[in-house]
Amino acid sequence: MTPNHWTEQSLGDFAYWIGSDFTAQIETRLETEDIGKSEFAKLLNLSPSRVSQVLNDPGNLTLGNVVKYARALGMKVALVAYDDADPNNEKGPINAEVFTKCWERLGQPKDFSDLSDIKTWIMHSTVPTGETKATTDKQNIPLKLVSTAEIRPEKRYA
Amino acid sequence: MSPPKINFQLVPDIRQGSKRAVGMLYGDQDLCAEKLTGLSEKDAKYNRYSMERWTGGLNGPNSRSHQFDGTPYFVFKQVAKMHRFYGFLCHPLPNTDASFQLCVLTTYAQKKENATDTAELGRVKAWMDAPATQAAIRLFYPDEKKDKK
Repeated sequence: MTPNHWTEQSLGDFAYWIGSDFTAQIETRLETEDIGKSEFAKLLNLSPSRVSQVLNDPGNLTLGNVVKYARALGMKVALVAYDDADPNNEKGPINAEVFTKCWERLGQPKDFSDLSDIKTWIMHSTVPTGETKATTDKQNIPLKLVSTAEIRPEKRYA
Repeated sequence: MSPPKINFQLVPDIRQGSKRAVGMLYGDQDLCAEKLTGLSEKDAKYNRYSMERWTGGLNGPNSRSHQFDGTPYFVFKQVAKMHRFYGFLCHPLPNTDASFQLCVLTTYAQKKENATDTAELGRVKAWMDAPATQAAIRLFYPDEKKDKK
């Protein structure tokens, strides 16, 4: 039997992981935008020590602080609940940036209408290598190659 | 008296990735294994997340972990607690899984300043180059291709 991931030990541990996943995104943004912790504290109207305290103890993040920190850097936040077919949490949570990257690769749809506008063509003629091709019509971004066998017939045309 | 035997094991209680893993050497007082496994629960969680982030394929933020430019040396950091776990990156399976990357943690330092302490990287290099280290990694990752029948 596979042991559960450590975040299954308590809800607090799971929350700690999620909080860490959020603060890591904030710290990455600070680094890519070259914003120092003191400057960030000014944007938040907080003392640098208070900001460090929150970033270093992500288990106690409140939803209000999550929004506040993201908005101060011009970012938005989504809470995503997902079912990854791992009910016993043997594999642990999925990094939020995986979801972000998928969203970016789909051309950053703003809503479900945008999403349904993204037409995906699956070429049924198999190319010599045995692979199938898929692209979005919005930005001609290659999607992950999938086999048509993995897609139910009614889903082959988006 | 025979020299202490150096062993390698994956860092326990963290999710290892399909393309990346973090392990540690143990068997010598200079190594960081005891420090890493003896962290307070809160500090352990902080570092577990940092390591899982890396094994999951994400690099950085630099405040948590980074490779030293132009070198195979690597560090996991917990700045607020001044914890630094140093190690090196390698590809232990060149024959069977060439893209698989391993971070081998070697030594620990408690430091506040951001400047890299070359002495710390010197310790990492010494462990990286040690035949006992290479042997321990090879024992854990035999990298033997199965004969085709």
